[in-house]
Amino acid sequence: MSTNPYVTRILDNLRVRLPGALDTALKLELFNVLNEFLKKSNAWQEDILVDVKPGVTDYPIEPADGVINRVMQVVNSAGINVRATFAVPPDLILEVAPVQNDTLTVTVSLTVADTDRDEFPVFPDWMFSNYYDDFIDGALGRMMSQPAKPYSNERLSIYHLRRFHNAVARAKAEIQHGNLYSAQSWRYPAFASGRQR
Amino acid sequence: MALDTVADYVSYARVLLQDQVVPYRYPDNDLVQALNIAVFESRRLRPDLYIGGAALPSFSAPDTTAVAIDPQYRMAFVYFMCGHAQLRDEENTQDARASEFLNKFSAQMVSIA
Repeated sequence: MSTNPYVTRILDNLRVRLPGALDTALKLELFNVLNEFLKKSNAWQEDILVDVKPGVTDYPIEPADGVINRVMQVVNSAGINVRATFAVPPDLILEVAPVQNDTLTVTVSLTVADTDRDEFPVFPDWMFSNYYDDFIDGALGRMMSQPAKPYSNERLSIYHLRRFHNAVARAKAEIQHGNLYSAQSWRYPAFASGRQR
Repeated sequence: MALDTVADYVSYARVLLQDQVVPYRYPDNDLVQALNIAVFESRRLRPDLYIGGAALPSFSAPDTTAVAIDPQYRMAFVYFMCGHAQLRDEENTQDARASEFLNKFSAQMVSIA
């Protein structure tokens, strides 16, 4: 198991609040919580550079860590959006074949990759500090929703899962705004930046 | 006694059964079999005890084979072994004890008992 102090603290919190819970079950549900959080919020993003060649539309892409959940944006070296699909990972399919060599920046959202049950999945440390309470809420809600356990508690499960789902929605909005307080949700379009007239 | 091996379980069950003097009232094999049945019952009540395991553990003798059960639930297994052993007795007092042990096992598995 990870020696990350946040992971240790999260597990300690869960053990205290879930009497009779097994560590293997806690790790299982914590993985599910992270997976749901990341898939719904797009909070973990990475830019992948892809060198494209004329006439080729199919490019497999691979993140440094985690698993790609969806492609958020594809832009070329001029900063212009490129239409592409990512229906079957790991292949990024460009809608129109490039006419010249270029480097695309593919922004992807990631989720946790499967790992040994004793290991904690690779995960950015900054997320632990930002979403620490939310991960605890998610894990508590899921654990308490399990039937016929010493820690089963329908009412508390609903309470914690509601807090968790609110946190997911808040995280999604924060990421869309670049994690800036009171930031505007719009920007000037590319053609207004002076490159085109 | 840390309840780590099959021998530990059998020996501690004998303490609660008051059956520590040879010749035993409850044979070793019966208690080992009770431990195996406890595994089946616990799998039904608490599948999370066996997360990641391909097959349920099975034991054949009161030896040093490890019984990999979470420490929080080891005593529940001993209670089941005692209850299962005492089911065969016919006296009313033993019936009550058997039922009490088996209920304690179930209660510890699914509630904060």
